[in-house]
Amino acid sequence: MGKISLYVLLILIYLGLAKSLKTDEKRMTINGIDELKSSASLLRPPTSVLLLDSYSEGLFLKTYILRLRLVRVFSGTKDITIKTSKEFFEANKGNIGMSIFRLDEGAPSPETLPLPPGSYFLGHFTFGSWRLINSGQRIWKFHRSYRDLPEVLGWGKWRPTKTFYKKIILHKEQQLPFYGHNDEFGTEGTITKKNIRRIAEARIFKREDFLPHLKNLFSLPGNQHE
Amino acid sequence: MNEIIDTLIIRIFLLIFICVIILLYKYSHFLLYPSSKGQFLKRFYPSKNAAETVHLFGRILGLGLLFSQFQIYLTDGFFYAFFDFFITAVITFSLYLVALYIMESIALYNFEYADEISKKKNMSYALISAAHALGLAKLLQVSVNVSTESGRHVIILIIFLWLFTVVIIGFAIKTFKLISKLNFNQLVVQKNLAIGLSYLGFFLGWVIIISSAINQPIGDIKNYGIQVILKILLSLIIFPLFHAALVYIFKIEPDLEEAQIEGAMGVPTVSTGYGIYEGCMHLTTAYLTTVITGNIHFPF
Repeated sequence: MGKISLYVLLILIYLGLAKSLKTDEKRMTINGIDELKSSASLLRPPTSVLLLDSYSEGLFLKTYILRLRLVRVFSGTKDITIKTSKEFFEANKGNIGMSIFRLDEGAPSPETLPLPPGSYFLGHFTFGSWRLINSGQRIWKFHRSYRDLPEVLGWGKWRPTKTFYKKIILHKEQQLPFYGHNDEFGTEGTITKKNIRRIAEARIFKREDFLPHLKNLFSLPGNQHE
Repeated sequence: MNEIIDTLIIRIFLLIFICVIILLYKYSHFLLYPSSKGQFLKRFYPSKNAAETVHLFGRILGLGLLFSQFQIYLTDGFFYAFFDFFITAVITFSLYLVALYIMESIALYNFEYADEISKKKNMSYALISAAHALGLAKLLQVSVNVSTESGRHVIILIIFLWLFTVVIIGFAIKTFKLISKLNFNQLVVQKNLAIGLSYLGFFLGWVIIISSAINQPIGDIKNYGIQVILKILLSLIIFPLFHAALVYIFKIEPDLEEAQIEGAMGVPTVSTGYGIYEGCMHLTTAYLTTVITGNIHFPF
């Protein structure tokens, strides 16, 4: 009995020490949209939160990680990595590159509907205006002081048109997520894939097929696999 | 052809240089261990006293182990390479001797070298001493390797790691009473081989665990210390599991009462087999433990 108690104590000491002395990045935990709403120290309105990446770590006990970009117009953009719940992780699996949270100055509650990045800024003449282009369409152009925003929002060379904006308004009224006319945004979206580099992809091993792997394992020195 | 002969001459020169350093070690050894003067200064006859042979060759083997990982880089010129080697070697063997002295003061404080080896020809004492000599050499070898690989503050890091490992192993040998069922002092007095073999496995097992823990790149000293302590703690968790698994798989019955035999003059003592069992189990378990604590590379 004494030995078992000692052993359990040893395990507890190890876990306690490993947790408290963990030297790598200390990540905050935000388990859902409600906890994100109450993270007042991070959110300095007007703020739009973009989901840059999501991945899970661990084999048996998974840790769910989200990389968020806080686009805070007046106090600087900041990328953060948070731990989250499985539910929140699963709910946002298809929302990479999307704006999942928007908080306006003086607004009673934030918007949490997944919308294309930069939706918050469209139509706000403080940030930009609609410009007529040769094709006859009107596109959104940020003012000079906000010229970095398209890059920050992951737009690349793409610019939203007024039709696109109207579609956003419509989806907001119906409380339906909007991924673009041709699903350009979201995890599988062409614009997202082009402009947002996912860390998770770099972290995942390129798994080779089993048979070539087996052949490689038993290959003789000097053959074509060398 | 000239190049080949040139490198050969350099190697021969280096060989002589190492021999000079070993000679230096020999003289510094009996400065710290005046009682072992006979071993080093007079002619030594290996067949006369087996215990003394084990004791001496444990240290010689330790010395070989200590220098086996030294790297000599001639890219910065001949002088710098040999100067660095000389300074590191002198400091390392001085630390080695001090560590041996400390360890024997902790583990063998009840016994005298002159009595046990020269007079009583106590093989168990000799095995314990050999365990210290080999184990501490291995720890210093890894310390030198880790410090050299860090590329800067080499001497300070060697001293830091030496101090760190001596403190850890100093505490570790106190766990012998917890792990082994054998009575250390009583069996050493009885010149029982079982205790020598059990302690040999126990000490080398600890050395394997500690050397595996310290064998990682040093960035920040504080983080490094934390990582080493955590690895050792993890080893303490894994070690009993492997031990129990080995006992279960091979259906070993470690019954000390059955291991009791009648020794000289009818005094009950422990059979050598039991010592072999304990020593080998410690060593095997330690090796297996390091696979779990040090050789798993997680992708996250």
